[in-house]
Amino acid sequence: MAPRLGSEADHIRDKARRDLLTLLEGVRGKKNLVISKDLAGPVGLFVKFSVLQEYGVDRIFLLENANVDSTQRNVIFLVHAEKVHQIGTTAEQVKRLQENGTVEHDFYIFWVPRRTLLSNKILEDTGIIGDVNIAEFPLYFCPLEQDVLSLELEDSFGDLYLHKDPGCILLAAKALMQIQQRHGYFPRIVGKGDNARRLADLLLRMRKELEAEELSGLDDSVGGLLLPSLAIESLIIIDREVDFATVLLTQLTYEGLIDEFVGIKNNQADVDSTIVGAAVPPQASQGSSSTPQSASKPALKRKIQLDASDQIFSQLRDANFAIVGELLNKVARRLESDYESRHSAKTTLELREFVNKLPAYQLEHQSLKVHTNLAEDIMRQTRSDVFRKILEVQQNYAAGSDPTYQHDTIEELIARDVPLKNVLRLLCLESCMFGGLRPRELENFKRQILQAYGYQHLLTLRALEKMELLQPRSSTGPVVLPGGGASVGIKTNYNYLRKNLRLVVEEVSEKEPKDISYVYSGFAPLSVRLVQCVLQKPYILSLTKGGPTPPTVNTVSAASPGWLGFEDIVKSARGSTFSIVQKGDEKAARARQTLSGSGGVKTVYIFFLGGITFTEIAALRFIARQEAPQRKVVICTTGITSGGKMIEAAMEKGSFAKAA
Amino acid sequence: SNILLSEALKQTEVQSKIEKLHLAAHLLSDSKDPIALFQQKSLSEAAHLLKIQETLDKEIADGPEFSGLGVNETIYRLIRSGYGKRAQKIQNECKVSEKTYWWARLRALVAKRDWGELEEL
Repeated sequence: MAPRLGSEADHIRDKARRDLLTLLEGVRGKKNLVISKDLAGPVGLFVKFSVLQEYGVDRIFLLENANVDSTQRNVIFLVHAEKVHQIGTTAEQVKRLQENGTVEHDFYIFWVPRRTLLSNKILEDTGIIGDVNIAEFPLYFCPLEQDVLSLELEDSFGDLYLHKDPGCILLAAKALMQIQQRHGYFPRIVGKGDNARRLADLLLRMRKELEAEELSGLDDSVGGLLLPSLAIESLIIIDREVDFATVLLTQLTYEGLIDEFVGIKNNQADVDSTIVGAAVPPQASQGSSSTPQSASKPALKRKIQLDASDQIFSQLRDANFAIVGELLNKVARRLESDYESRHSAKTTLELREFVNKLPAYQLEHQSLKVHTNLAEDIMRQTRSDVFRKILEVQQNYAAGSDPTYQHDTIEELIARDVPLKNVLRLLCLESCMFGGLRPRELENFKRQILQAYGYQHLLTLRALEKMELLQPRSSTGPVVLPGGGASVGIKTNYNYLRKNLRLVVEEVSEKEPKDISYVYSGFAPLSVRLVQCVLQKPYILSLTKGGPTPPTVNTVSAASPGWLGFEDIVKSARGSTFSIVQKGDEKAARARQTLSGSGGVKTVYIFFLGGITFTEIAALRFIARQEAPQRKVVICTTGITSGGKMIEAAMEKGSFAKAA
Repeated sequence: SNILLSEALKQTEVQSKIEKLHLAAHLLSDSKDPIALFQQKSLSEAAHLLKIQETLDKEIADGPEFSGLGVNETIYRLIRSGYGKRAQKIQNECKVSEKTYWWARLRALVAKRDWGELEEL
């Protein structure tokens, strides 16, 4: 199995599709498929409804709707085995079908990604474990793009930081193990943050377990896998906890803003059809990009596929929103001139060529229309008074000016009944950037929030405190990190880092970005700066020393292990710092090296534990482009997040109103 | 007390909601921790607000219109329906800041299209 480079995403996609279809094949005859809501999206990423139909799936139901009927003898459940209530609902529905169905059913449950003790227990307790066939569907990473792999765990943020549930760390470790088993071990694991540390430890342990298994002959896989990989340079793990503030800022790239205003889920956005126009039946020739959902949804919302298959979007997605209009304009002009080219076609051959290209033009034209409308709508929202005020406060915080000057604005926002999410976001941002608010001011704000939005948000505020997003400045409570010793910084010290890593860059050019700070119009996300500390040392050095920026550094910085050179700076970010070298059998490694020659382009895996924003992805892609001659960058994460989603994890949904 | 608070949220009857809130506040009454003190104060405020809203519901609105709203929203609705005096009373009782009150008033008057009163401001 020669690992083909760069096809990791394809490989995972293929594997997931094969696994699922094999499982479906194992069930004879026609069947109904019941799928939980949070899995429907990811599954739609790699397999189409028509394919499922070929494999005998008659109808698909959502688990949450609880409307499975007994039209088919076989009923298949595809459910996450980590979430208690989902298992519960599954069990309930099986029971219900057993009781009132006139037909006898065969039940199959495919646990994603693995069968858990918990699921067994619940099925036992409901007394149906004997009546169902259970299988596992090992879906870990879902490839969102060629360079983005996501576990698509929506709740991972809340789980990890609010409920302190390390479940998603385990899943992440398993997912990374799959990569290791394919390519060999990560020669080096670099990381930042306590949860990142835990993930790395898990990886080391799993490796040991695997080795032990192999030694005892239990596993009949090839022994050669125990080598550190030649194709991979390193794995960089960044814990979300290290850099909350970046997420709290409003994203300013095109894709980021769509996510802020509309929300993107599994590469799809539900946009009001009044904005983008009603769904057009996909073109017969190129309709493959639209998913089965888009056809079945009511006309009010229209699903828009947002991924690299859309050429225009892939040009726009990572650009700062300020220039999106200009880019769109350019595309429109080009398209027009392309259309015009038909007049210049003289011979029939040329004409035929043009006709052949026509479907592609039309497709492009359509997507242009969609994005122009979408951009216009976003523009309208960004021009609003409230949005600008929020942004202004954020920029001031990011620049590190005295936070108390902003309090007036925030108070005004509260009084004007701006959505609580946005207000909390600002307050949390201040708390993160300046190590908490002054106790008296915090109390003042809390009171105003409770009065404005209702007292149920006492719970919201409490949750935010637990996540250490909103704190009094000299935290008196028992908020000591369990893992972090006294020597490690408990909070991220932005004041210090701002200076030493040049987080704030003035004079950004949004058009021709020279630094990653363009994504936030002048603020470089700390998380990505940390990645640069590992990958682009000379660049960071030149930035902080203020010297002339060298053009892309050509010296292969292979001699830059881990955090070397930045230990002191990195220390003032929160959580533990580590850099582990995974060594294999030296002789074998050398033998293999001589066999395969020197590596060439190596891959760096960057894992964001607890979620990543589209803006950070844009920044990482920017780095990837700079590093293209030497390395490839693959971004892995537990899920796509945003400031809004972060706060929502803590929000109390109930209210004192009776209607709720 | 947080558990009690979530329970209070689930109650359907206003009276039992208030009871739960009092219980939650009582639980904290012995504590000296500033955070707990704040919590306790907020809880009793919540109960108080619910009581006010209950009477408002009875006297002004036909159905349950006010109960469960935030303080600002309550003021906003009162002014919009033309009960300026009551709104001011709530402002005093709940110690709402001048600024917040004026914003609520402004929004309410605009929603009401009461330009006459707006000009007086």
